[in-house]
Amino acid sequence: MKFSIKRTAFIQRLTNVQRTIASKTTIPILTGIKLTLTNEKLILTGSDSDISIEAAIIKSDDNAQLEIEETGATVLPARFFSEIIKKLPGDTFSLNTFENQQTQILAGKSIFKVNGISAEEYPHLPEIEISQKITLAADLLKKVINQTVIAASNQESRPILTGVHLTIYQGQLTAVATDSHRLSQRKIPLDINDLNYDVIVPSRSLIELARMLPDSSEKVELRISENQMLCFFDQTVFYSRLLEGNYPDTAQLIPNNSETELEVNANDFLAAIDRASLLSHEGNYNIVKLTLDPKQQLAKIYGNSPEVGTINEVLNFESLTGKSLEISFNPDYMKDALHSFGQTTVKINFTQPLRPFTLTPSENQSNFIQLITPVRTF
Amino acid sequence: MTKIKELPAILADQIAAGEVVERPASVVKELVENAIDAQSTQIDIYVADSGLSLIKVIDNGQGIAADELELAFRRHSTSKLHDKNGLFKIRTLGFRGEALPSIASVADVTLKTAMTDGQGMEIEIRGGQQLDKKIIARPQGTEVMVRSLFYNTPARLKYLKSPQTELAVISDIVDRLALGHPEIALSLHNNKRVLLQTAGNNNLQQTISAIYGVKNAQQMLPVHANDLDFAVEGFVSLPKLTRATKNYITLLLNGRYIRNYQLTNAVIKGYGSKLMVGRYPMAIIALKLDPVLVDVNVHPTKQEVRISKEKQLCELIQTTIYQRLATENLIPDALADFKAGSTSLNFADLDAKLNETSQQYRYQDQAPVVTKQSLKSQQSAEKKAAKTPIIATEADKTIIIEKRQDLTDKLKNWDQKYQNSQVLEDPQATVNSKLKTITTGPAKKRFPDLRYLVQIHDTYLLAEAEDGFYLVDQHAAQERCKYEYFRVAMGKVAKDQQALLVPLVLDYSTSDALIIQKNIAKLAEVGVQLEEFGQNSFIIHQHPTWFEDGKEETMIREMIDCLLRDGKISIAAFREQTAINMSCRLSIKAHHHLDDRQAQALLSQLAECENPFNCPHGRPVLVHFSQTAVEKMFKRIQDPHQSQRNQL
Amino acid sequence: MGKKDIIARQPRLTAYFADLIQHKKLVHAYLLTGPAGSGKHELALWVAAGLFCQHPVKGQPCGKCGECQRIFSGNHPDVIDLLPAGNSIKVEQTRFLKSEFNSSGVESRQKIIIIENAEKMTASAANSLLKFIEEPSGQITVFLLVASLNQLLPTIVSRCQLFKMQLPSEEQRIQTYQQEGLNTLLAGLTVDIQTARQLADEKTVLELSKRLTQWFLKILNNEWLALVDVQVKFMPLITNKDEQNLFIQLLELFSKDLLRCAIGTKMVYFQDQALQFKQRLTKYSLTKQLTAVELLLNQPRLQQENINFQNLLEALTLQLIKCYHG
Repeated sequence: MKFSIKRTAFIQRLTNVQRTIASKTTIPILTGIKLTLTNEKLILTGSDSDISIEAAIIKSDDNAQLEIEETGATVLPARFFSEIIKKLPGDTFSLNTFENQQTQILAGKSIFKVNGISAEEYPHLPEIEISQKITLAADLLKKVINQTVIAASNQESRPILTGVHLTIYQGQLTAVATDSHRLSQRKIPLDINDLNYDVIVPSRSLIELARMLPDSSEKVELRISENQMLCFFDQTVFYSRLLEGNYPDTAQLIPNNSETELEVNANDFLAAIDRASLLSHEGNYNIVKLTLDPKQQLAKIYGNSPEVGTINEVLNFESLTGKSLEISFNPDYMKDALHSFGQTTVKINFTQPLRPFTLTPSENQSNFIQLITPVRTF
Repeated sequence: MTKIKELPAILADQIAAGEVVERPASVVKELVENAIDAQSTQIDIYVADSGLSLIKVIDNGQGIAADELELAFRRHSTSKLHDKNGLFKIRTLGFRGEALPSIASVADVTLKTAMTDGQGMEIEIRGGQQLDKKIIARPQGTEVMVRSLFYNTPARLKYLKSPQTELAVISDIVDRLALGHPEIALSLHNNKRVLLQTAGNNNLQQTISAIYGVKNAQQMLPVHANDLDFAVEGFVSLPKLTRATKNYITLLLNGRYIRNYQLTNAVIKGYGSKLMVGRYPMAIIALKLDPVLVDVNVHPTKQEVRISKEKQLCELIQTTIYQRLATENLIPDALADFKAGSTSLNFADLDAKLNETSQQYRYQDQAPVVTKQSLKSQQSAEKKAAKTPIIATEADKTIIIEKRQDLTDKLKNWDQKYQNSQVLEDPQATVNSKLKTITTGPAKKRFPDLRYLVQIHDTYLLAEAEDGFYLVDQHAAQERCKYEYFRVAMGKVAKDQQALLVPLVLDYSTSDALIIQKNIAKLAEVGVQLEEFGQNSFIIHQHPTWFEDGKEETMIREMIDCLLRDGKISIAAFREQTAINMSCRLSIKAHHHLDDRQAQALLSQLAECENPFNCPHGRPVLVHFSQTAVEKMFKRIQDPHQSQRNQL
Repeated sequence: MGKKDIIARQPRLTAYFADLIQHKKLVHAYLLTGPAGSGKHELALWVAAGLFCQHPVKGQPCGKCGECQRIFSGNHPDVIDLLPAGNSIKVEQTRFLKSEFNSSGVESRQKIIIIENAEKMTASAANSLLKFIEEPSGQITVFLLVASLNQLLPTIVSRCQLFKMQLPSEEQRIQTYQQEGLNTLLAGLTVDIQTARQLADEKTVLELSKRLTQWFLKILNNEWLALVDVQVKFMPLITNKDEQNLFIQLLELFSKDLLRCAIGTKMVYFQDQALQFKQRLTKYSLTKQLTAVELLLNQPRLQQENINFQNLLEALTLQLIKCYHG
């Protein structure tokens, strides 16, 4: 393998990939970074078994000035290699691998020789046919991820709940996450009709992916194999391992009727809950009580912390219909849910004081549902 | 042919001796008790070869009349009971009329006595046979000399432990007798060496320091309490002064040393969680009660007694000790411990120590002059060390009243502050419940104002205070905070339950599952509501809200494990144990870095705790480096006069 | 690689597994038992290779393709090899293990997890293993390797398929080793000839055994100086837990030889000094000889109880002297 390239462009790609490389791992080769050079591009790969990232620099990229002399591949110790590249003099450097896996790096007057490992030893990431792709907008995908991972669990005791359940069926993508106390479900329409998938993706991977996705509405591609999920964007491929097991059936948990409905402005309501939670946090007793009286058109929130104090606030709302209700819940869950809606009006539907209640945006009710379980007070 | 014969006297005596005279120490005990009953003010005990070759007890009591000498050595003859009711109103130590004849049946006894200064009698008895009787000149009092003990019962002789052990037992008995009678000057000599000398000036603390050493005596607090039936007096050690066995808890009932499991436990319980695991305090508790309430005639050695209203007495002892300790500043002075070195009186080591001329805890050539000096130094030391000894004794008397006022005042302020009568729905109930459980006011007052400086080794927090500085063990500190949180949380009837969307299924082995099934109700009381779900599985749909986020399953499993491990325990103990375990497990450990904010938060949390001085296992949370102590370390304070001048 | 070796050493098992692989009949959990050096790890790797190999021959791995090479060099991302360090599996490793039970492979859904010294699993690791075995997900297969069955929880043992490593008999081993020129002592220490060669090279073992025999001769001669040998001759060579274990093993083998002497057969492991011992030992009554053997056999238990090793050996010396010379 032989090529030369502009350092800055290389480092940019390198940094992206290095995020996934762990310094301690059971599989020695994963402490290395894989460089693959084809006739069209240079690909950098890093992985920690759960997440793998391939970042490419194409020949036609003017910023990079990639000159391909000979194709090939090798694996170099990641930390050491990246330090070298960062400290090289000059704007460009060239790299050359020899038969014995030794790699030479030249820049200006300095010559580095690094011992590499054959790229054959590196894990083979799955390749999925193009026909099996799912396209959607980057910012939409980002939003979906951010709106669901908040509800995922981070306890190791039930590993399945640490993932987000993605199902693709009849042209629709459904993403569900729950930690058993609250649940978040998001549905978006897709432009394909014949692909079916049912996978669980670790929330940690999705959070990383969301960080890397661009903010624009450019299209990204999702491909799913039997054991990995891939996301293509911006000359990068993001791989995530899937979780094995059966995700609990959450569809039946979402109530489809409602006895009481409260419509509020998300931000205003959030502010009120925030105030109420001030008290509950003080006293280690993290519960607030909501009292709804549609007859008198009154909605109140009450927080109490023994020895600290209380808060009582009458709430503003857009509409309140149905039966009277008193219900208690953890304000932090409510806050997380409200945050995820952004600036909009939200409908909160209750059935009974001991059953979970839902939050949905006033328009597009079926696409985004947050579910929270209440607390039973004695 | 008659097969049943009445036992000849000597045989009967020897049998009785088997119960009363087990070893040389029993002889010493019986003789000294006789001396005490004779109203002596000075009793000297001499032993040789740990009592096997010689035991001599000399007192200055009433003496025995010449014509009653032989009678004294007959069984069941005693001067101490006058009628049949006397048995139930025992005011003397001896009463069974067995000691002298028992001893004489297994040894060579020479008794010299005089009822007035001048003329006295001497009688010698061996193996129950009188050998000699004559008139002698003697000051008032009695001297009993016992030689060749067990000469005619070789089996018992062989059964004795090593000379050091036997001597240790004698020493122990004499110590306890001395503690029971601080008004008598007792001395113990072995082979010409003085082992104990008390002043006999009725000062219990001095007696304690003669036995256990001045340093230890300085770390003991006086206690006293009264109720209608009992009077409790004595000294208890500070929680930092402990021993590995309960042997150092001396119970005295009407001056008699007794052993009582319940009372000893009451003493230990009075310390609560201030004691480290496996460690016991040193205590001398003198109880005075109407003799009618006590039945001493339970065991021949009279060490076991039966007490009426024992439970009431136990509670009195426990509460007294508890309250006494609560008013004390329990922060160990770091440097005092540092310099003190070991002052332990380890009974097991006594053998070794007695072989050398160890003067660690004994004074040699004890003259009253010496003890007076030590009394002075003790007093001044007390003034320096415990800052509020005087206040403390006053507080003793008015302890209960003070606290009640304190609390209601605080509550009034609270109400005014928040101008909301709904804050405490039932102030009186809260006050009552607080009184029932733990004290607040005094403890909070004495926790110093700390200004956090830095974290050392990611394990200790260094904080500045008005006087010197403190080192806080972060793990112990957080353990205490969490423990109090959990105790309250579990004690409260905060049964609020958070529902689970995806219920939790727990599997256990068959034997474990059976235990769990039996205790489902108990678990429900602490908030863990299990339902049976198939064979050996349980399902849970909700959990208490006060569980920490993210750790619900772990906590549920831990609580169940607690139950499985300990079998049947009461709800309160279960909660207590769970609170302790969880607080330990969930606290930051040593070598866990804290940033400034976290450390500050921990210190302020600690200040809010009811007992910020110990972790739930009894270990100290913080140690104090007083300004003077530190200055001494740097040898800044050299001339005491100089420093005083500077202070002016 | 040791690939060929394993087929020769465990013909039955390799044939069995090859058959399973061919017919895709692997279950989710296997338990392999056998002493150190009996080939458990090699077998597990071999089976893993058989599963992933790109050109298997009747279920047997070719050993040459990329998959096989990566597996044998420890670089295959879907063949997880867990070796607990120290006395028990660490918290980190437990967490890692749990997450591996629940996630798919990197390259495909197939995954092999090998847990060596499985008896060192903590309760929580064992629990997640049980959970996995009861509800296995995907195509994950676990190999548990232990030296002996009674060290594992019975609930786990009952849920795995059990295989015992085939072992050549001791006589065979001794013969094989002797043919190679290796000291027969090594035959008692390991069943694997490779390891035996290594130990022979290292020389520690042989040196220790020589000093052990010298020490024992001194004891037989009623020389109290044998006590000094502990500190001067033994302890410098015994600096860590592994070396302690080695010495304990030597004591065990020595006691076996003493028994042989007592009943009149030849010593096997310590043949070099056999004659000297025979002469001296016959002077003593059988009871004394047996008592000495009992003393020696008591040592492993004491060592497990974390008694200071030097104290242990010194006490043993005194006890042996007392035993032989009253």
